[in-house]
Amino acid sequence: MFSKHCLLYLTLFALPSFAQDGVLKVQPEQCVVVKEGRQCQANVTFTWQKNEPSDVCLYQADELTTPIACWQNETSGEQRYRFKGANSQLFVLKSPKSDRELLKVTVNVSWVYQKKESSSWRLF
Amino acid sequence: MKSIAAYSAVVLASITCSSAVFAQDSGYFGANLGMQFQVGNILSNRSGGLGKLELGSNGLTSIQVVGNAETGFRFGGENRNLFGLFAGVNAGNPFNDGSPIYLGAELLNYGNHNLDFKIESFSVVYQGDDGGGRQEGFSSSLQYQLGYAYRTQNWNVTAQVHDELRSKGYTPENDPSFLNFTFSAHRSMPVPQIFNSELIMGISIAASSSDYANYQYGVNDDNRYKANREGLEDYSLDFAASAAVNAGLVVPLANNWLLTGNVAKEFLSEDLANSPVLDDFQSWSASTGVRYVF
Repeated sequence: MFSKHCLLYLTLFALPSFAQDGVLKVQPEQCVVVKEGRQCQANVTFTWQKNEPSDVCLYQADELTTPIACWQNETSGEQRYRFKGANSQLFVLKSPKSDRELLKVTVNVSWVYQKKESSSWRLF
Repeated sequence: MKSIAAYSAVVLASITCSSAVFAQDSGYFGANLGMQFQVGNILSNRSGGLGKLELGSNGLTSIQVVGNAETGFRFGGENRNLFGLFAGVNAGNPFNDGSPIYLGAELLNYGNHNLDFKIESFSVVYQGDDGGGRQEGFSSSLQYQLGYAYRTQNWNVTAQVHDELRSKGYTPENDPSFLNFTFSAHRSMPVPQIFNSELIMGISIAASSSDYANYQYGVNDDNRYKANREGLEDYSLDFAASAAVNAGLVVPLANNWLLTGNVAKEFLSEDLANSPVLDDFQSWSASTGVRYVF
């Protein structure tokens, strides 16, 4: 009964990833479409901060060959970006000369209606 | 009656909910509630699923609380539910005083295809000997609707046939045919450039037999008691048909919230347009609302 809402939430800690190295944020974090499977588009803004000046680039995780933006010898940066995708996507901040990912953030794609409609309610 | 402008403005707020009530993925419950303001004859609403509990009505201008609800469940496996039962409350529109309660059976729900049978009213009457030639005894009437729907991610196509079966003696003079046919096709298209919305465009047509048209939109001794007919001269129709086109936008506001807007234009056949209980041969309507889905 009420399977859709029987969720157990456990909140232990809310630590940003790689807290020691800095922080990478995106606003807004979520992109909402009406139906699952639709492409979501949104203007998002990435901001990052590090403790020490670095040469870094911002990448979409599944497209590491082409950076979205790069900074040289900076401790912080901001970049606007036109997000497009039907699924959630991971973005990473890393050195252009290294494969090591320094910071990560995800733009989540969610939807109001699930794709499978056979069990959903009738349209009046 | 022609002096009333054929413009309509509909303000609608609705709440929609969905949950697995009976068992996982087999039960559902849905409800709509809102306010509606209407000037002019918008026949589309009779099949648009907005039941109305009228607060006040003045001819063709009305302000109403609108609402309907339906619940049901289905038997069978995922995507192959072969039988289901449902029940709902739907008051209809000011021009249609049909039964507000209905019971239905989902005869087939296979993939994108859905076939259902809905009983809209069932009545049994006893006619005594009135000396007027009416047949003495019990007689019955059954109003039903057979509906087919084809639904995909982008299409929603429906066809419905409504009829009434009457036993011998229910109507003394003749055996009326209360046949009504409706068809609609709606196409949904994503428009991610406009706040990730969905554009929905559609057409719908409806046609009624002479008896049904006269019952709903004519003026005669049998229906003069209904609203909007006081003081009107007799009017009969041979046939009634209407067609409508509409376009709407659904904008996601959050995970569960939608903003909706819709405009529609409707055209009526000549007999229907000349009915004194309706306003003009064409009309516009517009609506907007918010919807919560869970």
